[in-house]
Amino acid sequence: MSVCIAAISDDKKIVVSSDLMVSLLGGAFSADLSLIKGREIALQQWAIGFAGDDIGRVKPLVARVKHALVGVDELSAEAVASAVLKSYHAERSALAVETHL
Amino acid sequence: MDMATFMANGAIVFGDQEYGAKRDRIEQMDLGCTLLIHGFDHLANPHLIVVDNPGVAQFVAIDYWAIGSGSYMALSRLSLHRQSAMLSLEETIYNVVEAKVAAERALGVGQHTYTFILEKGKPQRSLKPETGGILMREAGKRIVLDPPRELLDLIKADLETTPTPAENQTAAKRSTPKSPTRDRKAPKPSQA
Repeated sequence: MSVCIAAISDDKKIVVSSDLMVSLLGGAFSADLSLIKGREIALQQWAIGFAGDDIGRVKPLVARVKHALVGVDELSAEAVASAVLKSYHAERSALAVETHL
Repeated sequence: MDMATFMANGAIVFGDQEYGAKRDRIEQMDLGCTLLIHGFDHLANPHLIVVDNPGVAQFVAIDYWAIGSGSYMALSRLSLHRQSAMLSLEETIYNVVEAKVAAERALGVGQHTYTFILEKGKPQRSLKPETGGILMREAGKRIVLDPPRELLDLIKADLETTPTPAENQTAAKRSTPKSPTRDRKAPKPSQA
């Protein structure tokens, strides 16, 4: 299921470290040295790291977040969190429709 | 069928029982991934936010976090190093790299590592590969330090000299004073 770590330093920089292991299909398939787990959602300002048993939905989710942030002037933490949450719920709902309906 | 139609007409289309079962499965749907959002607000203040199933956000107040199966290992290392936003960039880089190396002990964490530094308004940068290699190697040595020999000897000596509970019980029985009995030979108080 991999790892992604982030920490803030005294000069307001963020250090991020992750492995390159990828898991898909609920962990049924894994491969190392496959993917850098950072996706920029706002140029040189906000990014998303991820980990999980199934990262197959990350790409569409990130696309949703980027779309949601277009036109937002002040990218506060709350605004970004709200956009990510809405996108997460939308993607989860889309997965549910594909799987069960 | 889309979600809105299902919620509005699902019971009619599927019947109450199947509709209920489908609703249960949908509510338990897990996207299968956790997100660690990191970045800077308009005042250049850094933030970390975690979003996990079923779509809940946590604003990280301790200035570091980890997600994934290696997160417990990573978080314990960062905590032991007292990682905070009071530490320098160099110390933070070392702590994060060591946390990643520790996380490799967990199931599903890969050995290859990508570490980078973010600063608002600037492209991300990373250490030179040779520096990163040295860091990983040295951090790997530090997390598997054996306990000091003298401490193991101290524990051994303690175990050898400390009585077991059974020995304690036997010793206690031996030292319990017998019930007081009249000593027939005790001298009578002298008569004046």
